[in-house]
Amino acid sequence: MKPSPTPCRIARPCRLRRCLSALLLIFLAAAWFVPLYGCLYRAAGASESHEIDRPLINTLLVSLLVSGAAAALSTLTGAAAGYSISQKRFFGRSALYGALVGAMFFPPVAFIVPLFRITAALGIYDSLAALILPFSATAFAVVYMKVAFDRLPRDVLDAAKMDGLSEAAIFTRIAAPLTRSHLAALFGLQFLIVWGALAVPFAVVQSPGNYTLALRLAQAHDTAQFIPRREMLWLVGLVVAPAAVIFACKARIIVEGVIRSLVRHETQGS
Amino acid sequence: MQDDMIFIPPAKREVDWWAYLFVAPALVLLAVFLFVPAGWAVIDSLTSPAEGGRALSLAPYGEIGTPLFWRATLNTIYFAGIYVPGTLAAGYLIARLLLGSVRRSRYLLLLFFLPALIPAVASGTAWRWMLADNGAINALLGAAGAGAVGWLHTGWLVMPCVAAICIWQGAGLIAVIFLAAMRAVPREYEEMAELDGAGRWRRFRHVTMPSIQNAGRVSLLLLLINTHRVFGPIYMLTRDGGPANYSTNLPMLIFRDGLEFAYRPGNGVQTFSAASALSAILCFTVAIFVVLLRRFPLAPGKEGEQ
Repeated sequence: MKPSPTPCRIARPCRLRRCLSALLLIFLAAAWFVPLYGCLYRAAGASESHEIDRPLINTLLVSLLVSGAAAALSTLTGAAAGYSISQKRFFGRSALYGALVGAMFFPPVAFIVPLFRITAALGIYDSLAALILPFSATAFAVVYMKVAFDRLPRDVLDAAKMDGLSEAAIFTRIAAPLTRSHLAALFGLQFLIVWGALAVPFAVVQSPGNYTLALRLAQAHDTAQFIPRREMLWLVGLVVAPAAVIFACKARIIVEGVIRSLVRHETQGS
Repeated sequence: MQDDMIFIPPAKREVDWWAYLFVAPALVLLAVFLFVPAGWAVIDSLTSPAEGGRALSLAPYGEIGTPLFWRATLNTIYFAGIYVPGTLAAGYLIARLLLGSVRRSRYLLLLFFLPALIPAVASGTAWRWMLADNGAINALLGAAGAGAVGWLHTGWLVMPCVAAICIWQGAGLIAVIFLAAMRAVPREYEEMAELDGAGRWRRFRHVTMPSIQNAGRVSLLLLLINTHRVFGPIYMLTRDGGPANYSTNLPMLIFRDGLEFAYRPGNGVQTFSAASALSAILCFTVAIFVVLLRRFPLAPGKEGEQ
C-alpha cells in the first residue's frame, strides 16, 4: 500500500559504509607495503658505501643456476608424476599421494639433518648439486600438477587414446600443453622457493662460493648488525625481484593453484 | 561371473607400466632426498650409541624434554595465540572489505597475497631494519614524542613482532579462502535478513558465519600447520631465537641442535639423535593437523567427504 521506506533505510548506511570500507581498504593496502618504507628509510639513512664486488655477481649466478635448474627439474618430475597419479591407477597410488600431501606440509627445517647426512654420504656436500638435487623433485610440485591434471576434461585424453596416440605422446602433446599455464606457474613458484630457501641451503653448503643470494643475505645480517651496507640493500632487492616479476606475470593462477593444492576441494578425489 | 556373456570384465587389470614410468623420476629423487633420509633419521632417533653399534632405545626422546624444549613449546603457544586469531581476523577483514566490489578485489586481493611469495629472507631483513633500535618504527615513535622501544631486545615483545610478520605474510591466503566462501553465498540472503530486521550481529551470526564456517575451519588448520613451520622470520629477526630464547620455537631448536652443533666434532652423534627426535615430533604434530585438514573439502554447500 504505502511505498515502503526500506530501500532508503538500506541504501543510506550503505553509501557511508562503502566510503568507510574504501578508506579502510586504502589504509590496509598502504600498510601492506610497510616493509618497503623500511627499506627506503634505510636506503636514505646513508650507509657506508660498499662497492658491488665480483662475489655478489658470482652469488647471483649461483642463485640463478641453482633456482633455474631445480625449478625446471621439479616442474618436469612433478608434471610426470602428477599426471600419472591423476590419470592412471597403479598399486600404491593413494598411499603415495597421501605421503606426498603430508610431506608437502612438513617444515623444511625438519629435513636439514637428514639432508646434511645424505649429501655427505653421496659425496656432494658443499657443491651446487647438493643445492639443486634436494629441490629437483618436491612433494608440492607433484601435488600441484596432480590437482591441475585432475581438472582436465577426461574425454580429451580418452579421445587421444582412441586415436592411437602412445602414452608418451598423450602426455607430451595433449596433457602437458593443456596445462601450460599451470606448468609455468609451478616453475615460477619452485623458482621462488629455491631462490628464497634458507634452512636447506644452510644444511648442504658451507663455502661462501656456493652461497645463494638468500644465504648470503642471511649471513650478511649478523655481520652488519643493524647498519645495513649498500650491499645488503642490493641483496634485498635481488631476492625480491623475481618474486615481483613472477607475481606480476602469474599472480592469479598461482593464487588459485596454491589454494587448490593445499586444501582439498570437493571435485577432487582422495 | 566369468560365464556372463554380456558383461565382459576388464580381464585381469594388466599392470600399467607407463604409470610407474611417469612416477619414477620424481619417486627416485624423492626417495633419495626425502623418504630414505627421513626414515634414516627416524631410525636414528630410535636408537642410541651402544657398544658394538647402536641399540634400540627411546633415550633420544627422553632427552629432548629439556627446559629449552618446554620453553620452545610455550613460545609456540604464545606465538599461535597471536598469529592464528590475528591472521583469521585480518583475512576476514580484507575479504569483507573486498566483497562489495568485484573490480576492486581483482587486483587488491592479489596485492594482499604478494607477501606470501616474497622470500622471508628479504622481507625479514626489511622488518628487522624497521624494528631496530634506530629503525623507522622507533623514529616514528620518537616523532610522536614516545620513547624508543627495544622491539627485538625485550623478551615478551619478540614473538608478537614475529607474529606480525607472519600475519602480514599469511592474511592474503586466508582472505582468498574467505572471499571465495563469501562469494558462494547469494548476496540476497543478507539483504533479506536485513529487511527482516536482523541487526548487524545477528546477520553475522546467522547468515555470514554458517556460510564461511567451512572456510574458517580450513583456514584455522592451515594456520595451525604453519605455526609449526615458522623459521625464516625468526632467524632473520633474531638469528638465534633470542633474546634468551624468548623467540625459540621447535624449528629453531632443530636448526641450532642439528646444524650449528653438527659441525663440532665429537658432538655429532647425540645431537643428531636429539635433532632427529625433535624433527620426528614436529612432523608428527604437523601430520595430525594435515590429516584433519584433508578431511574437510573446501567447496561450501554440498556435503563433502568424497
